[in-house]
Amino acid sequence: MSVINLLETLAKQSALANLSTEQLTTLVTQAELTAEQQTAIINSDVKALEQLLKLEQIKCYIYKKDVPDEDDVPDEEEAPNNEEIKQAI
Amino acid sequence: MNDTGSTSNNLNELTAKQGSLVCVGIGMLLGAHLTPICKSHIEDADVVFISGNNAFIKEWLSQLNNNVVDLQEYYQEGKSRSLTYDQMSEIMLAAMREGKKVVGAFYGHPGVFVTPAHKAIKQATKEGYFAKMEAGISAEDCLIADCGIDPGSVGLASFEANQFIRFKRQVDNSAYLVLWQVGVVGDCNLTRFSTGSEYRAVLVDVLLQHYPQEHPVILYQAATLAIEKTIINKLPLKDIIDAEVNQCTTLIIPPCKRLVVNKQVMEKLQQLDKQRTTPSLTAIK
Repeated sequence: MSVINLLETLAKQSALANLSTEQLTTLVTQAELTAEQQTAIINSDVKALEQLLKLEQIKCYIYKKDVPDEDDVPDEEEAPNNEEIKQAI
Repeated sequence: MNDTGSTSNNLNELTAKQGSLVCVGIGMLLGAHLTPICKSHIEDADVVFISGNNAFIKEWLSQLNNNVVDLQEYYQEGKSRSLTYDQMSEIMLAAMREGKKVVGAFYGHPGVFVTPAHKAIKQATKEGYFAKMEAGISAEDCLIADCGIDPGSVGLASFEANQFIRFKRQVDNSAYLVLWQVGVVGDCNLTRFSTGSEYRAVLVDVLLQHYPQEHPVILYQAATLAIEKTIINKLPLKDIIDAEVNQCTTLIIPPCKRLVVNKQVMEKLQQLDKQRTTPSLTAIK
């Protein structure tokens, strides 16, 4: 089992939620991982795991502008012109 | 109405044009939150453009589809994120116009705080292509579960942090207030990946108009891997200035005031209730 598959398995199986360190160690040693990878997972060292797998760091997690798009903003009603009001009366 | 369970071949039969765009959410926790329909779209796509919340996402999704393109390359500190989002949207649309089944796979929910997904789907639809969004588990969903907050109890208002301080917003301090992207609060040019404590001080100044400085708040960050811990950091409002904050941090402000009954409305409702229980004269024969 690869590191990615192990991470996926740990996340999606209820039986593996809330493992003790000893239980996690047993599980990890059964997967086909290097000793360094096993240590990183047992110690929850995500940075070390990223480096061992030579993964590219995420630069930015933000996908939202702070100013809304024009389509999302209601048109504001213009104040009535005084001349228009006089004519209406 | 399109059948969301259609195979990818049927998507093109529903429109005259070859090419389609579906934006899906992969959830927050790698492996645990991918819905069956989102997984199916990813597997069936000709190309999958991804935006992940950890470095493992690309490897993981590459097991489902061998043509995965990371949208991260369009980010650069100092470059306006507005331009980045336009480029992300355009790259997906360009592939769609080539007749490809395109999937944009975004972490969390693809419609929650994701400008390029909404932009691309609107444009694709305008051009007559099949385009849709599939829901995903968002950071807000995880926040609700992890922090034990029920939006239904006293209400919950949610804002982008910089929008909250740049514009005059009405604050109901008898409801929860959630502020997103606090790590870049104050970045009005959209060019920075982080702002510092001096910018958070401006946010605190705005919040002090509605909350006491010792009011307990939470700095929250969802776990994205099974081996990560969820971060729930409880501290007084004033202390967020110098707290550890990053791009993924969300600020949760619980209510500081009880709900106040609207007496006028209650009187109207009581009148209506009386009319329902009072027997009508026409019913008596």
